Amino acid sequence: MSRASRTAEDAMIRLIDDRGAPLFEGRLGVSRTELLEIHRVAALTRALEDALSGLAGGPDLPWYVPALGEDAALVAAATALGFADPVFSSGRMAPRALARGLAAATWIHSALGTSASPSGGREAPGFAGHPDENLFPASATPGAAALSAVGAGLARSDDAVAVGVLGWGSLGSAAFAAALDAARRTSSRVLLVVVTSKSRGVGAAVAAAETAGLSAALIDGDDPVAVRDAVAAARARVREEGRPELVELACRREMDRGPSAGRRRLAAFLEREGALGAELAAEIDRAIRGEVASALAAARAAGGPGPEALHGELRARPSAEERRVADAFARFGAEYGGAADPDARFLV
Amino acid sequence: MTRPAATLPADSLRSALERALEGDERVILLGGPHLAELPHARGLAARFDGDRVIEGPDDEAALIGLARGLALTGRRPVVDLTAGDGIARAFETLARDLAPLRYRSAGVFSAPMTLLVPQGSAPGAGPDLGATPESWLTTLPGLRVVCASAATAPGALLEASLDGGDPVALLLPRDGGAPLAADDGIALDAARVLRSGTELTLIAYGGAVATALDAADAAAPHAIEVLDLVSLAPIDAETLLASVARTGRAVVLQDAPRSHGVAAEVAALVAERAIEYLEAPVLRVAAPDGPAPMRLEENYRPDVARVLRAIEQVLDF
Repeated sequence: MSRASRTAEDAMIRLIDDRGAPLFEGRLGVSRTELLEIHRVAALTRALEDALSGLAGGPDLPWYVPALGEDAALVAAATALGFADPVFSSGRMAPRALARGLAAATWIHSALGTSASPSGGREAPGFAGHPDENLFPASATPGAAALSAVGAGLARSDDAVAVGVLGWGSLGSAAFAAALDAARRTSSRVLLVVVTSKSRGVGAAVAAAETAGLSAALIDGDDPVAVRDAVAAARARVREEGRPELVELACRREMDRGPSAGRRRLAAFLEREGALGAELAAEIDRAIRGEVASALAAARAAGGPGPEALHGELRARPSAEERRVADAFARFGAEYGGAADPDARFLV
Repeated sequence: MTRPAATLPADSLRSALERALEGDERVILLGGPHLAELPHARGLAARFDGDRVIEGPDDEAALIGLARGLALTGRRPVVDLTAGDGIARAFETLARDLAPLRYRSAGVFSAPMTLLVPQGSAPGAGPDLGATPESWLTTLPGLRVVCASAATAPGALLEASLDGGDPVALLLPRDGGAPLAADDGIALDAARVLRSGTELTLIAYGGAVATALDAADAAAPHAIEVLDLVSLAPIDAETLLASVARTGRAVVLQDAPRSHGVAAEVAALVAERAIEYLEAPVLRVAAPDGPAPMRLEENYRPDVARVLRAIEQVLDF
């Protein structure tokens, strides 16, 4: 670790220490019940994503990118947002989706691309948007989610703040730099949340934002209490003052499948506060295991999409030619373009 | 007949932009830092507030990324990319995040917007400003690509594009020829027969439409039909094939390099679906396979003399 990044780590905002001991005085702006829910959803996220990671590379799932090490930070950030806030992501959407109430089964259908998935099996694993939760489809183009969020923030809704959630991979992109510049110049009502990795050095997102003229804060992403507090405060400022902000969440990105550093720290804090005992922890764990098993069984039962899902929805108003092809396919299926289909001559 | 050189037809576009901004609060004009200085946007920033006419970054990819967020949250952005020639920079976000969005989400999400994109060569434009992006853009499933011409005013196409629910690349020829009579009620996906004929169909789009009309005049007394494709993706196959079936001969013009272009797609469609009507091979009249040179643009572009030679070859086959 470089001298510069050590300095930046020292500057991270924390509200609880590594053992869950409070570093604050007075009352928190978040209830113990809400923190317990952050703990539960982070655990659910990890259990779901562990199951999906286990399937990745197999016949049901080509690949899957989990939010390893970031689950508690991303859930805590999501719970600090307003439900009407449109959220644009560069991936790793499971914590936000589940924090906003998306059913585990829907996430699994979506990731596996089953016939019951929102996109009918067309979208990349974990990239589908969920309109009822105000989550827009993820973009794999580095930094593009920041631009979309800044664009949405130009609507200047009184009730909502546009949010972009990005990973460290977006930091070096031209799109991210352009988004920061555009946010400042247009006073977009946007909050950018960037998750960075402690092993790669922290503070780069904050430095970029401050260079571009935005207010920014560096938070210890392994402290979900601080994340919840800082994101809520930043969102309130964006909404009230009408100017963009950035929050950097620096996380320890472990690649094993145990609880993330953030969830361990939050659990320790809740135990100290008497809000999470062994019995409740076991009960939460049992419920999550049941939920994941049932979601996986439902997804397997649904199966993959049929060939009828191939056509359609390319345009709001398909051309006559596109309608002709889709109709022929719908009518003749496997015989499409064959002898049984006299109208589909030369469509093979 | 020689037509005077023209730049982007600003009047038609400006009127349509003004009407759109007046008539629909969802419409937002978004462009680079010099948007207000462009002829077709002049006065609009003063007339409408800063939330409706927005000067953004000098970066085509960034403008399209911003517009995606606006469109997904209910606005109808018109993205002005005419100040530069950097649509190539925006290709990643166009190809991944914008064009396929409706299909990828099975119709749940869409980002309707209109991109104003310069197209074609022009005297003095050279290899940087001479890009012909239609060959790239038409390969993006879900993106409509339409092209204005001397006969098809950009303003009419802009209005039609805002009326639909898709992302549309509205190509604006850098040298489209002198505008012909005003036209209303143009459909976004329909080719237009500009001149009827019985012996051969000249098929063109953009700046080549004016050349095709001139060549048809010059080919008299042969009865040459002229078709303005208007929509390059999807192509209006019905109108195209009906015309070729009537005349039995086709020559396709494009102000773009010859290979892998719109003309090749047109020729393939005719070969697949109308070969029994053809009396001769389909010929292409296009620019050479290379960038537009700075000082030889008049030789680079299809001109009337080359079109007449193609007409002669096809009629004599």
